[in-house]
Amino acid sequence: MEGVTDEALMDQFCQGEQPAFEALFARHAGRVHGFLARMVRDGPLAEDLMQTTFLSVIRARGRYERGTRFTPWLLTIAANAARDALRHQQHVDAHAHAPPDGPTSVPAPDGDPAMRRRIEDALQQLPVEQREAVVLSKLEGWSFEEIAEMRGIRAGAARLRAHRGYERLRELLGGLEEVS
Amino acid sequence: MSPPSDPWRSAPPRLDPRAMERALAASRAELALKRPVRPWRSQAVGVFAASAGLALAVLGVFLALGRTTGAMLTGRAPMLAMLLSTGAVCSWGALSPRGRPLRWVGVGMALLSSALLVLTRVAPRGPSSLPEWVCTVSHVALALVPLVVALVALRSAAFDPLRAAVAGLSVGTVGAFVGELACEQGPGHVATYHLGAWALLTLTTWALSKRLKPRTYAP
Repeated sequence: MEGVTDEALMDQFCQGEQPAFEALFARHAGRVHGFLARMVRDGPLAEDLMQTTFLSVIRARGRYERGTRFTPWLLTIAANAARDALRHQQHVDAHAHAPPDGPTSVPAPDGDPAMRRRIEDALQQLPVEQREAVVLSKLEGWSFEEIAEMRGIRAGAARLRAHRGYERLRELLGGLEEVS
Repeated sequence: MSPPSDPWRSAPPRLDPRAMERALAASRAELALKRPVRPWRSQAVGVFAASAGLALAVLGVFLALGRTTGAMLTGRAPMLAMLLSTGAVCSWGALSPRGRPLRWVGVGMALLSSALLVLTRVAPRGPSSLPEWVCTVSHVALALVPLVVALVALRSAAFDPLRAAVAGLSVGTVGAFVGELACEQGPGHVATYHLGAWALLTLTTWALSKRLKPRTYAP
């Protein structure tokens, strides 16, 4: 499957080829999980949502239109799942009654752990819309036009959400530079 | 000495291979069910067909019973066609993954249809033998089957308020269609008891769709 684009793989999957789905899963599971972990900052919940995201890909392949860029489509599904989970504070029963001993996902070794923790703490204090705009624009490299298309808003509104998120992060992080 | 790393660019928590295996196993189990894949277009056609089919079936019954004549039907044909068109655009817009502009067109058509329903209505022929709220109840009752079809279809995508509202407008067209055929009351009655029912159905579709857990989070 190497050398085949995501879009071609998704087209193959829509025509019933299961290996194409598994190739997409192998390519994107880590990225989707990383995005979700930043959105919800809860290891087990991020893993559940990652599973939900790929189940959505399977169930919603009738909604995938040829020519749609796959990665933004996939991350839109992940973002919708994260927003729903955050909004309704839904969690799977396995994690609902007892707090987990710790995230099963292991922290990455690179980067300054203290600094990263401060940023992640601050991100969690942003409203979901602002957090999403910051994570997608700063960490996933989306343009404001892409964020706007995903949320059905104007590019200016997406830019404003991210700007407000950066402003709030600046306040929360104090002396940390390079927030935006 | 290594260069300072950008904390923004540091890698997110790594995915536990066991969690990845679990997710892949769940995906394989889902695929093994071999559930039929329904394209969104056929869902949109299904939602429209539920409303339009019911409306046309009632029209057929009215014609058979002599409640509606050919001349009356011809006179009201533009309005009835407008309502069917509104239902079609709203159904398509509600289910289309990229249908946001079309959804607004659907809202516009529904508003125009509502205005025309009131403005083209002439004075009542006489006092009705039935209470006025019967029209509201009939409007809502006729929409029950299309409402269920629309709710099932809406679950195939992430909840979107505009999408749900436009689906509700589509569902409400059947009652408006039958009301145009069967009701002889004046514009005030139409504005209150018919458009009120249409608005109620739109709100109900929105509220139920919001409460139902979607099957997928796809756009």
